[in-house]
Amino acid sequence: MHDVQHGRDHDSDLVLDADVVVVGSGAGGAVAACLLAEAGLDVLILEEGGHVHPDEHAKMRPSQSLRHLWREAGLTATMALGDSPLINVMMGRCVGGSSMLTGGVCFRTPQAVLHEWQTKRGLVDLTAEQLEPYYREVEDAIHVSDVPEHMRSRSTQLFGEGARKLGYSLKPMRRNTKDCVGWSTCNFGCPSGAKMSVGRSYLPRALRAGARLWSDCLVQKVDTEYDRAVGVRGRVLNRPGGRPGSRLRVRAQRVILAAGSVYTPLLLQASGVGRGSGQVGRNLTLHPAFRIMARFDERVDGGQGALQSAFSSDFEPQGVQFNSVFVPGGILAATQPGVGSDHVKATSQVPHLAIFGANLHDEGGGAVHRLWGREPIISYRMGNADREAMRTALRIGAQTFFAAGAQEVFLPILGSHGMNRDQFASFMQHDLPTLSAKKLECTSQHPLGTCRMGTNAGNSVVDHNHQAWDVQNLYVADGSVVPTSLGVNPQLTIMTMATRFARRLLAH
Amino acid sequence: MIEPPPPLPFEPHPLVALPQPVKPGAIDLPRACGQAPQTGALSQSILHTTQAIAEALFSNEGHAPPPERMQWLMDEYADFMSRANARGRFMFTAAAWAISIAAPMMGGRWPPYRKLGLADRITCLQALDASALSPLLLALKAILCMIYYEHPDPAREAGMNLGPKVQRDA
Repeated sequence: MHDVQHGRDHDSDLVLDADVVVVGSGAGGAVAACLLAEAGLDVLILEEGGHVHPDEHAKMRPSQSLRHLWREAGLTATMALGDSPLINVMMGRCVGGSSMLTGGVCFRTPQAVLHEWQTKRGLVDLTAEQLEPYYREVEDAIHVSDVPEHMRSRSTQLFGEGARKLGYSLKPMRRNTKDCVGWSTCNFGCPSGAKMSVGRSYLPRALRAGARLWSDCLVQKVDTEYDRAVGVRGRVLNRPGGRPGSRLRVRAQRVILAAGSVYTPLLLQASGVGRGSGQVGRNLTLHPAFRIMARFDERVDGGQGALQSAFSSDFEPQGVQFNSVFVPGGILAATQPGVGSDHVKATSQVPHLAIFGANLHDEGGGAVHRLWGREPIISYRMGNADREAMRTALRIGAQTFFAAGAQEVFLPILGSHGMNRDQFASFMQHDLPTLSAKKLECTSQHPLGTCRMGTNAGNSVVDHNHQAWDVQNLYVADGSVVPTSLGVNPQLTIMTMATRFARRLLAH
Repeated sequence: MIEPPPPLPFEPHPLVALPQPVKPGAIDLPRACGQAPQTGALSQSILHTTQAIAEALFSNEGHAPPPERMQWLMDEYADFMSRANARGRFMFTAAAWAISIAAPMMGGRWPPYRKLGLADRITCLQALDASALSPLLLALKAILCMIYYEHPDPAREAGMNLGPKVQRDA
């Protein structure tokens, strides 16, 4: 079994050969690399970020996790076009990628989405029946199971009580955890080692099967000869400050890109791949997400319980899914108004705050644009239906908390303060119908679709086998191939599609 | 009062493990080999301005937090920003600089902000926070709060409970 090799400790040019080189070690890359290595292929995984073992990550505080494992220390933001919010896009930059930073939520691809892929995108073999064995394989590998009701936080219980009173319900979420004790810090490291990220599941398997994994290696270009991929090149990040240093050159029979929906298209663009389609870097969907908070008389301590344990899809027709969630106390404190004594007094109410999240099933108006440096510009234009969904989510979320007995709700709107029932009723009547999306405080953990799969080179970047239309032996196996927005957390879809890809590649 | 967490099969991060106040510098990062590299630094001037803002933001009844706690906060903030990229550092530098000019003007004082007494700084920051320029403070407040309440003393003072839901046997 190989250990992870650290590029930052390597002081000369790195020239390697492999049957398969996988660029990126997140949910897609780790799965593909593992399955190909277990089939006997010589697999090399290259990761731009550093290597922090999950046990080390478990000991980090949230701000330490952000600065060491998250891309741009979690400060990446979109450029908002038109009446759109500025969205904070959260991505991993570490061995294990964003899989290390998820809440562990595992949804299968919704039937309606698969139906759309079949009927409108022509992807006729992406059916629930054909995907079933791949789902099962992944779910077994990462231990996907229902979150038991007793692991729900008080915050989630309160939202559930409100939902029941309004006539809708919460269902248990499925997550990839084992013996979770409910620290609610999944995004920043799991203190009990319960979260089965690829750092605890697929990557150790891949290494045991003989795969090699190098961290701190920046791939800048795919090498091609005629119309075939023959390897990759880039730089080892071994200069002071993590700057590019020694040359990196890999010769491989097959190249698999799994750098995520923001960086895989940049790599294709830099390599001149997919130009004909005009689709590389476009069709970005983000699932804009926000939280609705409420203050209760009782002590809530919403951080005690599974971070994500229940959801409601009752409003999916309106483009909204409600998901249970929580955030660290310091981030909650930041949402409290005032400065000085006013702020300190408001912060003392943090233990009384409950939170629930809303995800928008967006239409997809984003794109990734290359700049001269490493980090791109991510532009995003929210659709009309998404703005309406935003208003629906704010209204129903607040009403649900009031139905559960909240004294005040705090909406994620810039410049807004806590609202009691009467104030919210007035807000709903006068302000909400015309609320600008620019005022929404919004995040995204689910960038998808920038190298989408399709049936011809004119409207997509890869074919149904994940191979680039214009370069043989070049494949994409991450969230960028997902053809449309899912409306649910994409981790399981990405891993399932990567499994399907690897199995089909081996079969051929 | 925060209850001590249950024992775990390995050492959890220090803020969860230590219910008692810690000395400055005692909260260390684990020796993870994959730490993000430091790619740059904020200027001393911007750090001083940010500290002046933080003291006003977290002051209570006209008193700033203890100096050692502020020093810990600023060390952590400087480290955080040194590992963000140039775009992030520029954004936070611009925010601190804009506040250092705008807040005194909103509060009827002369800039720069960091040279004002604590009472004036609180007044000016309150005026800024109540104005249309309040978004200037938003991102800075978010990062400062996140780090500040990771320190066990303010977390305890705010009544935050850091333990898990289920008490598990070691």
